[in-house]
Amino acid sequence: MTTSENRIFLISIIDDDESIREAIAGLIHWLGLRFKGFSSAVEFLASPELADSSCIIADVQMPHMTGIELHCHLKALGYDVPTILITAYPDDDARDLALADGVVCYLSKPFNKDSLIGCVRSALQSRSA
Amino acid sequence: MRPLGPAIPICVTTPSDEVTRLYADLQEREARVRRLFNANIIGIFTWNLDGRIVDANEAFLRIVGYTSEDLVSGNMLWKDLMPSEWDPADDRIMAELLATNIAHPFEAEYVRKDGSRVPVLIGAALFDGKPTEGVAFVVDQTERKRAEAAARESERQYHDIQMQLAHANRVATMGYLSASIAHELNQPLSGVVVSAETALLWLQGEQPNIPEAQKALTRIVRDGNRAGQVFRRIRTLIKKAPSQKDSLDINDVILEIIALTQGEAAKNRVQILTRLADGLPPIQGDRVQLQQVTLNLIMNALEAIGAHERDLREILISTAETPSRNVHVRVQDSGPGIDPANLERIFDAFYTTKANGLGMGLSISRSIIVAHGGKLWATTGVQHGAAFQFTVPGDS
Repeated sequence: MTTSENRIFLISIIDDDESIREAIAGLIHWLGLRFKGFSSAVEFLASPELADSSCIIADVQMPHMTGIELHCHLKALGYDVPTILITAYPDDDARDLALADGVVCYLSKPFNKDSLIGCVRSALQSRSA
Repeated sequence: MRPLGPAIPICVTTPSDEVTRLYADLQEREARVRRLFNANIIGIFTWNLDGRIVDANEAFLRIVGYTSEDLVSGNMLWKDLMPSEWDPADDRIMAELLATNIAHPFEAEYVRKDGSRVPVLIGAALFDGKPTEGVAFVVDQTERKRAEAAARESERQYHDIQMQLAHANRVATMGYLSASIAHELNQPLSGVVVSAETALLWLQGEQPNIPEAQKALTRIVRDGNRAGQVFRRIRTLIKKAPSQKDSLDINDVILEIIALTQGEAAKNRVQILTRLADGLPPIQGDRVQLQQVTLNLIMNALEAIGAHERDLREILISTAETPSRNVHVRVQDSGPGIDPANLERIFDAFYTTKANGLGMGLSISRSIIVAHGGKLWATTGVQHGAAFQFTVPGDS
């Protein structure tokens, strides 16, 4: 994942929590991918990265617009961007619904690097497929 | 009506009218003094500077546990009644008595005949023209002391119960918050796990990337400290500490509690906004108790909003200084508000509208604010919801 081709991939990380956002950004950076962090879904929706992102990693519980609402909103807008949802309140029903609705991964915090890297890989594969 | 008796002899020398009158006067005065003495309302004794008690009434003998036989035998010494730690020689009361002929009432203890102690109020005076003899008045203070001690004890018990209730209220609230506090801890810990793994990734291989690993480690330190702070906040509120007064900035107290309840607010999709005034006077108060009041008011506001599906879901906390240099805090919510008829009742203990509440939060909060010399009250909001407000005197 460190080939120059990967440089074109931009990962948008949307989490109102600074610790999580920056930790994920650090890992994405190690993967050699481009990244941009946002502290809310609204901030992301208003940014140029909205159209550029190859994958978004979004927290489920955020004020104003949740990660799930963001996913639905993007779908309605016609952006078919692979989405990884992360949550501190895992819920089996919500997870099944999200996955059925096309979300690539539904991760519970805390998660380890391998599960996140695995999710990012499958997200990018689904993108290039 | 004079009873019939033996005939009065005619030819005797009778005292002059003046002498008779003086004599009668004297008798009457003597009778009055006796009456005063024997009324036994307070203890009275006459004494000699050499230490002897010349005469004493029943009330005095009762106070010190001696009998009239002890008195008659002449073995009663007032110096024996003084506790050993009371040295009359260098006593300023004795000095006052000798200098002015009067010792103003003072509190002391007498040693009873059986060795026990009795608290008394003593006043004394020297007889005119007899610098070595005087009279003393003694009031038994046992009952008063007992009543005072009982009052202190019941005050202490009341205070203890208040403290226990306040602690129970804090623990219960923290229990209620446990899910969101767990979340508050989970966030930085999740960051720590990912950043630590990332640091290891940067360090592995032929050419470890030290600067990138350092960045990840710096994040770990920050996140670890953040988790520690959450932990400290909880511990402060859960701990059973005696109340203590410190000079506090009310804004700090409020910001600490906002940090603690931010997760719960997010869970309820409520925003906590602040409008905190700069340069407020410091207040003298117990940090934990004032945090508890703030916590109770925020929790109440969250619940009021939570129950209603409304577009506006916010709590506005503002602080200000009043013209009389009080610090004023206002917690305004966007909930359904309070029926004006209930604005006072909500502060009653056990008054609750919640299925799982005890109804103690507001009552405890009010007693905390009152103990700080302030006031806590509720009003209906300007545009919507309810506003809880309190004042605490600023430090002058």
